[in-house]
Amino acid sequence: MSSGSRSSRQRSHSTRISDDQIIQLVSKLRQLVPEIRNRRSDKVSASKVLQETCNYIKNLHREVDDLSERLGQLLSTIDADSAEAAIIRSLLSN
Amino acid sequence: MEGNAGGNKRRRVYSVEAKKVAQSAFTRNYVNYLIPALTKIKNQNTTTTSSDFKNVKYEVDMAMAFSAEGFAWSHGLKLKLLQRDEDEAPTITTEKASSNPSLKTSSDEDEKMKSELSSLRKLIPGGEEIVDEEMVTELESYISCLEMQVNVLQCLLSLS
Repeated sequence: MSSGSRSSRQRSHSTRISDDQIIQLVSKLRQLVPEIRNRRSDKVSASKVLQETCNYIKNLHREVDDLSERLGQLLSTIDADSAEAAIIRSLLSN
Repeated sequence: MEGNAGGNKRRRVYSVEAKKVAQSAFTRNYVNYLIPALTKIKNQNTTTTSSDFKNVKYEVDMAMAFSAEGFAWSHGLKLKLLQRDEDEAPTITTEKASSNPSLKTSSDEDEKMKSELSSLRKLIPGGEEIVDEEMVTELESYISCLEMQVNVLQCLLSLS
């Protein structure tokens, strides 16, 4: 994979993001992050939205890590063939 | 559709409309990748459970990257994983200066926003490469794929 021109247009984080983009970003995040979506309040400030988004993503990361760990433990205790067959069967039947 | 040019790192502009990752497509791709990969790990398992976790986590991340092609984050994730594969190093986060001191915006709120935005960027794989215009679609897809990933993994765990 060529990584040659990676730094040529690095204007994204060193220039000020436009207000319009912030508004768009924040309004989209309001819908995406359950914490904020469920609050149904328009009084959440933009920076709070960003902060909650960071927290949400970190939580998701942690959850994935935790699930991966459990999955790893599971691997060592089950017979892969029957598990795989069972999983595939269940998923296909949904 | 998928804006995946062949390894070319110039700015790719993605159209906003086609970018919703369909849940069924993601889930199917994810499972199709992960199950064989896990089976492989299981079959070669002669080592300790700690390396098992690393291997499983690697495949979990890879499944995520492959299930949502065409985003900067999925591309960034693949790169990170492949690099990790090569030098056995943990995930590489480049240290970038988060606030540019020469920008006198003279507002605390603005500064806070900038630093929050930059923290957010760091959480997304390949986030340093994402231009502002793409942030919305990238975040939207990344968050929804993370959620779908959690669902799939919970599902897999509950089945055994």
